[in-house]
Parts: sequence; C-alpha cells; structure tokens
Amino acid sequence: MTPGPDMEHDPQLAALYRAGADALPPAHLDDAIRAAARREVVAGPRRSGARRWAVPVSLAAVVVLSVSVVTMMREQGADRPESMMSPPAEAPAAAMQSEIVKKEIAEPPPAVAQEVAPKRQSATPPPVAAPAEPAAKAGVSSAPVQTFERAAAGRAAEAEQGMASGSESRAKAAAAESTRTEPIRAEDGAVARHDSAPQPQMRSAPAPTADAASGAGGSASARPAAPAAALSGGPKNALWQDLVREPPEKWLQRIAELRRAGQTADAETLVAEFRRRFPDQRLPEDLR
Amino acid sequence: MATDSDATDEALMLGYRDGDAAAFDVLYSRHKGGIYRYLLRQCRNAALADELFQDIWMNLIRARAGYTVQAKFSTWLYRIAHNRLMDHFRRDDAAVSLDDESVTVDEPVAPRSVEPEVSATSRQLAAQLLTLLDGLPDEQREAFVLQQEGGLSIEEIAAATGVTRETAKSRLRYALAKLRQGMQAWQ
Repeated sequence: MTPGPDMEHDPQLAALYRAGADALPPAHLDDAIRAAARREVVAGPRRSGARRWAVPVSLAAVVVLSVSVVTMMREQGADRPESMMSPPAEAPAAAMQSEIVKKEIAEPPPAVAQEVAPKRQSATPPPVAAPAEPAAKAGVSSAPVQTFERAAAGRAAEAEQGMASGSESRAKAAAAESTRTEPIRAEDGAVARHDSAPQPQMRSAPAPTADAASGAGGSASARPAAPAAALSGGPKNALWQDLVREPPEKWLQRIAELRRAGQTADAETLVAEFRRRFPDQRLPEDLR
Repeated sequence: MATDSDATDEALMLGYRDGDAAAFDVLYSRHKGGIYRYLLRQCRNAALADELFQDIWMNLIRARAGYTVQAKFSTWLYRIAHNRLMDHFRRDDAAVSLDDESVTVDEPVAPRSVEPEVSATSRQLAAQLLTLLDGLPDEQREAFVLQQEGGLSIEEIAAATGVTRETAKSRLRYALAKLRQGMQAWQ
C-alpha cells in the first residue's frame, strides 16, 4: 500500500476496512432497544405532565406559605403593640392601690417580675377579690388589706370631689393618709415585707419610688392616685394631694404660689415631689 | 408524525425527542452498525460489546428529553459510546487487553455481504487489516475506527474522545502509518 497524499485519510485502507467490517448487533438487541425507545415515547407525556404541574404546584405552595407567614406575623405584630403600648387602664385609684399593696404583701420578690408581664397584657384590672387568697396564704391577715381598700376608696372619692374644696379636702386627705398607714404599721410582718419588697417592685414598675401607680404612663390623665404617697405617709402629702391628677403646669403654679407666700420649705418639698413625678419636665429657673 | 428518511441525524433526534418513535428507528438503523463495530473493535468481546451497545442506546433514549443540537449527532453519540467504554475499562481495570487470551472476536473474518466476484485475496487483505488494527494501541485504533465507522473528522474525533485536536490528529496519523506499513508486506 502506498500512502496517499493526505496523512489523515487513506481511501485504499478505508475501502479495505469497509469490505471487512460489516458486523451488526444481534436482532434481539435491535428489538429490545427499539421497544425501549417506543416505551420512552409513550411514557414521556406522563412525565411531561408531571413536569407541567410542578411549577404551578410549587408557586401555589410558595403563595400559601407566604400568606401564612404574613398572617401570623400580622397577628403577632397586632398583639405586641397593644400589649406593649397600651397604658395602664384607668382604673379607680383605690383598686390600683389595693392591688399593689396586696401584691407586695402576698408575693415574694422574685415573683414580682413575672407578675408584671400578664398584667401588661390585660388591659382591665384584675378582680379585687382574687388576690386575697395569696395574702391569706402568706400568713397575713386580710384585715389590713380591707382597711386599706376602704381608705383608698375614700381617698378616690375625695379626689373626685376635686380641688374645689381647697384646703378642706387637703385636710381630709391628710386624715385619710394617716388612717391608711396605720393598719400597715400595726402589722409588723406586713411592714417588714413591704420594706423589703420595694426593690423588685421598682424594677418591674416604670415609675420609681413609691409612686409606682401614678407615674407609669407619663401622662397626667392616665395617672391614678398615688398609693405610694399614702404609704410614705406624713403631712407633706397634703401639699400635693389635690395636685395628683393635675398637669405639671398646676404643680409649677402651686410651687410659685408657695414661694411667693414665703413657704420655702413647702415649696422645696413640692419641687422634690414634682421632680419625682415629672422627671421629664424642666423646672423653670425662677423656681429652682 | 411523518419521518423523513432523508432528514439529518439532528432533525431525527429532535423528532424523537418530541415523541416521534419512527425517527428513532431511522436513527438507530443509520448508526447501529458503526457503534457496534466500534465497541467490538475496542473491547474485542462480542458479549461485552452487546452489553455496552445496549447501555449506550438506553443512555441516548433516557437523554432524549434534554437533547438540544449542540454538535453533530454522530459526535455526540460516539462520545456517549467512548465514555461508556472508558467507564467499563476503569471499572474492570484492563480486564480486556490486547494480550488477553480469553478475548473472543466474533466478527467474521470474511464479510457476510461479500460479492461472489470478490477475490480470495481481497478477503485475505481485509482480514489482515483487521488483524493489524487489533494490534494498534487502543487510542490509535479508536481514532481510526471513529474515522471509518462514524465518519468523524479530526476535530470530531477529538471532541468524542475528549482530547485536543493535535492529539487526535497524531493518533490517527500513527494508526494510518502503522496500518500502511503492515499492509505493504502483503502486497
């Protein structure tokens, strides 16, 4: 054989190869392969049908999941602002007062923080009679509590009568304060608990010191009568007894009046109380 | 769906992809001999060639749904065949080799469709060529068989076997040179 001009092609070799290469696959392989090919064509539409439905089903699943998640988030989001943002209910001052005292008496300090959470969620004040049980369990007589409730109710009534009565109401309030503090003092155990309790109570309540019930919301209208003022007792409370529900301007007006009248000590006391109650309010220069 | 027997391989494969079983029959008829002989030359075992042959066509059938024309159909088909063969060789780790005595080549020495006037000398020459072909290194033999059976160009041989064009060209040149040299002794 002589090599052709093309190094990659040799027609003579190719012809010789073709003459000797005619092997074919067995007939049964032909049949099997052709049958498989036909089966695949027949089975094809089933698979393509499944493929056709795959995208719409996936999209539907995504939409359903998205709607579910958004709905859940909305529900949770709707719950949260209500529970977090709503100010304490405008409950009667007496009810709030009695609730706080009962809590302090009945519950050990670690439980106070846990108590606050459910309270935030419920906008309505808890029933008055319910917390009496823990008080009894704690070994404290319910008598002081009832006395306190009566005093608080009387105080609330006085507050409603308003400042119109002027100094008379102040005198009555002072009397109510002294009446209110007596039962607590009479119960040494209760007083001891009360003395040890304020730290957790302060932590759980937004307003500091004894003004827990009055300063929580920050707005004068939402502020109930100050129960802690009653707890701290003393004739000093009479100075601001009729201002409890008043806006800061009234307090400043009263302070100015006292200053003008030369009652500096009373004015200073009122300033101190003003600062406690309205920490976000600036005291005018002339009143400092 | 009407199948045009003059249609290109690619058109037939697209027709089969779209559900035309008759297109596959035409395609199969065109390439079954070439693929089978390619396997037979490379593995030199008729039973193994049958098994690999069936696997290759089943792979093609399974791949039909995703078929797009990206290369010449024969290049794609012989690439499937080459890969299947390589898988087999890797798995069996040269279980079939040139020196294996158990190798059985079932291909008839003389062509079945030989014409009466074809001389005995021609049959002997064809048999001698196949013997020489069997003696070539696998890669060189593969290059030659792909050219003869698949009608592949050097570029297509390179694509089917996964080598560069120069490598494919070199293999083919060596194969042709050795075959020419071997056949000269018979003339």
